[in-house]
Amino acid sequence: MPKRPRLLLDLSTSLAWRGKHAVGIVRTEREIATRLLDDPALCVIPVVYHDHAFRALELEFARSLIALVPASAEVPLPKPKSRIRSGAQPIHRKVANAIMQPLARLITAIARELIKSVPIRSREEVRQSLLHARQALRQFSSRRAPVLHSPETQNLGIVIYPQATDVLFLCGLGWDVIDWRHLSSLRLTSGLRIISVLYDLIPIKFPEFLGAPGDYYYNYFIHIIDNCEKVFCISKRTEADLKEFISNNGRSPVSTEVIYLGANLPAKPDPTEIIDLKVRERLARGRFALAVGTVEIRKNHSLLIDLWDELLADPSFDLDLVIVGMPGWCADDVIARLEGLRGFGSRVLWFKQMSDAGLSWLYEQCHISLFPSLYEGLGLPVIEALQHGRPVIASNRGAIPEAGLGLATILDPDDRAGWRAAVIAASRAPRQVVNVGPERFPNWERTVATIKRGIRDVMLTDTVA
Amino acid sequence: MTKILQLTTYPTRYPRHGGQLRAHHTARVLEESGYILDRMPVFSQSLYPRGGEDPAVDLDQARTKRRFRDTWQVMDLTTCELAAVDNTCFQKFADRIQASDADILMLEEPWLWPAVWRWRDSLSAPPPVVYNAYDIEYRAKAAMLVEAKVSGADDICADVEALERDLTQCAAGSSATTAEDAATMQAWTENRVVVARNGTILRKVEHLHHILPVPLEPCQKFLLFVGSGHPPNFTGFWNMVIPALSTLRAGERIVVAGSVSQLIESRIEKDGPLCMARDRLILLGQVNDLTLECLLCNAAGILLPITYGGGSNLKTAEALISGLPIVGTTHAFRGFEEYKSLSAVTIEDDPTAFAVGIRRAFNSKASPRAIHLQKQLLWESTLQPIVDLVSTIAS
Repeated sequence: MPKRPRLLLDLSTSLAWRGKHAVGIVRTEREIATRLLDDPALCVIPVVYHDHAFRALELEFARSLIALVPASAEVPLPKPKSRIRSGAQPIHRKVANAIMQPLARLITAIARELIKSVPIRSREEVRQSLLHARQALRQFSSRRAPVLHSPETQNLGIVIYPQATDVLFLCGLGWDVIDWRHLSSLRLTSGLRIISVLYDLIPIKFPEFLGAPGDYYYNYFIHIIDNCEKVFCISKRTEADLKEFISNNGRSPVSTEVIYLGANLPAKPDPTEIIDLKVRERLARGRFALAVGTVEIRKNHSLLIDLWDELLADPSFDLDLVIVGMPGWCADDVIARLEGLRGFGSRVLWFKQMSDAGLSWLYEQCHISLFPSLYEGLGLPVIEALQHGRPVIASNRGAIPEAGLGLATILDPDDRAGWRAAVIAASRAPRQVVNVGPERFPNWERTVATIKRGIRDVMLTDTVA
Repeated sequence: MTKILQLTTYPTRYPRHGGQLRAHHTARVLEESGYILDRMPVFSQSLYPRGGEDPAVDLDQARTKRRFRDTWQVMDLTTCELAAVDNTCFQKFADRIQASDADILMLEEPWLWPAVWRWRDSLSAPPPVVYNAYDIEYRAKAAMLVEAKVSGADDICADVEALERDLTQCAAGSSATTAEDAATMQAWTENRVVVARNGTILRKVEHLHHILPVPLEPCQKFLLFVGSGHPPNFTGFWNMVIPALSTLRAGERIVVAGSVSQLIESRIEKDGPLCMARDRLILLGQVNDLTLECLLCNAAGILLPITYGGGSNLKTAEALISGLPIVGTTHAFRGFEEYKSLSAVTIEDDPTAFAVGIRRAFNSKASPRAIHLQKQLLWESTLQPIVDLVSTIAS
């Protein structure tokens, strides 16, 4: 038996998203893994879940997966796509979007119908097969060889047969990249302990925000409760939601602890990826409101679209709206409304992707940051904006007030008049600075220090006989 | 500070095979002893497409001009000669040496000596040369050429011997990997010849328990053979280990890592299906460091079956430091004779007795080597005579 407990650090999400712009949970896995991987106090083995087994990775390969900026020329990063969605969009892109987006939606719909149409006993196998197919397609579309067949990953051939002293740490897209049925069996047969990070229970609380079948996520959360020794929740709200879910489903309690995700963007502010100089100069004046987050129903961009549709009619209202975020699921109507908004491309700008440096610059320049989301596991953009010294108007739903740290203006997203008044007041007020010391904000070092303590606690507990 | 220009015939930054490892660690140990090392790899880029570094002089363009083009066994001799014979290559070679402005030239293996000789010949006070010999090459080549039934082997070997003699004679000092090789070289020169046997690094592998490359499983016990495509590795394995496959029990396997796997596989395919091999032999091919470490952690023992070839076997040092039971030949322990009496070491030179040794290894347990034995096997210790030699020459 090994002398020391081993930490199996799962990087399946980072493998699936290798070389791509990382936001949200993908980004979180990279940030946490970077700080765990080389810790000499923990015996860390980087792993990925692939083909019904956890595979050990060489350290160098693991580092290349979690590198925020890939160091090797062999790992091409997609070119920054911080183009403005406006009439100036190149014609080939318009044509590609016009074809690809409906095609992607059609394929998704067919896949879901296909899953529904197969007998329940085979449904999970079909779903797993489709996930593999999607991964291959993503790699193909980004003009790279399928990641699982690239030279760097030839050595996914080292299988870990877990021991009772092993601890598996998961902080990625666990429902997407891991077969929990199999992981559950592995745990029962080996005594492996599992620690996971839980971001939210939105699919259970608000299934209407997602297009995916509810039982899929329900199944995942049940697996988390039944199999994990410890669950780190990213806010008190998420912890409370988890406890409520446990209670509603008659499960045994699981050990939980709250960790706040680090909000420190690791790049110096830099606007150079905003190619259009006129746009850059306009933004540099600082007369814009910034909304960061995937464009989807839950983020409630509708409220901002409504407000700007109304406010732009007033010639004296000079605050532009800048949205940063990728198109999310079931957001066709929101996107159509956004693109049809008067002033879209001039007074209302949409950056689908933005590097840390570019985002940091936008935070610094903005007059105010807006976050009208209908529910969040945390609401990281609120903390990021505050950390840049910018005032924030944010929703009172989910964990967003926690993210506001008592510094943000909190409003009910249903209170349209309240939001209108607050935005107008902010636009008329001189530029304000939220002046708070850095110790007030969560950072990755503190987050990972808490995680390490939790891991050690689990390692020190008696193993299952 | 003394600057040493190290001339190699392969890239050494990311070493894989034995020669690369010795050159890599020689440079490292000298650096750690306070010398400035300038690495000058001269090779054909196409032979090391994933070498991780560019050659100082690329011999690819000139390769078609080499002698004995069908005799791959002497490719190192005939390719490196081009650095002296081909004027374009030589000019690049000379420019690079000149630019280094080194105090000492260190030749790893003898193959670049013709080019170095030509460059030195033009100087009134050339820097001294240290020759780091890995083998008595003409003997090794003779064995390989005879085995491959190459015509004209005697002439080729005579060329190699002349090259080695001349270099040893001209070098300010030389090193050999065994006392026997050193005695041969000492007969060629009045200058000092030291013995610096091959060494190894200490790998931390304990945490890799039950982490195994496919298709191995934890329920299987296996003995490990690690080898490059160097002919003695194949011949030794084929003659000593293949006959023993029939003695393996259910769940017992022989695992081969390294490019010798391809030679074994080709031979098995050529000679027809070999069910024993299919069921009991696992050929992994070249493996990365993590895979090798997983194998070392989980193996029941290590095989060292080579029956000919010169120099001291680098794999022997790796096997000894692992603490695993070893089944080896007398030849594999050249340069490591004092370890033959260790309790976990079985030496057998007859295939039948070797098979018995394999059974014994499967039934033995690993025991960590004593600290002082481990230290003796590290490159820092085995290469110290070279550091002392260079120190003397530098002063």
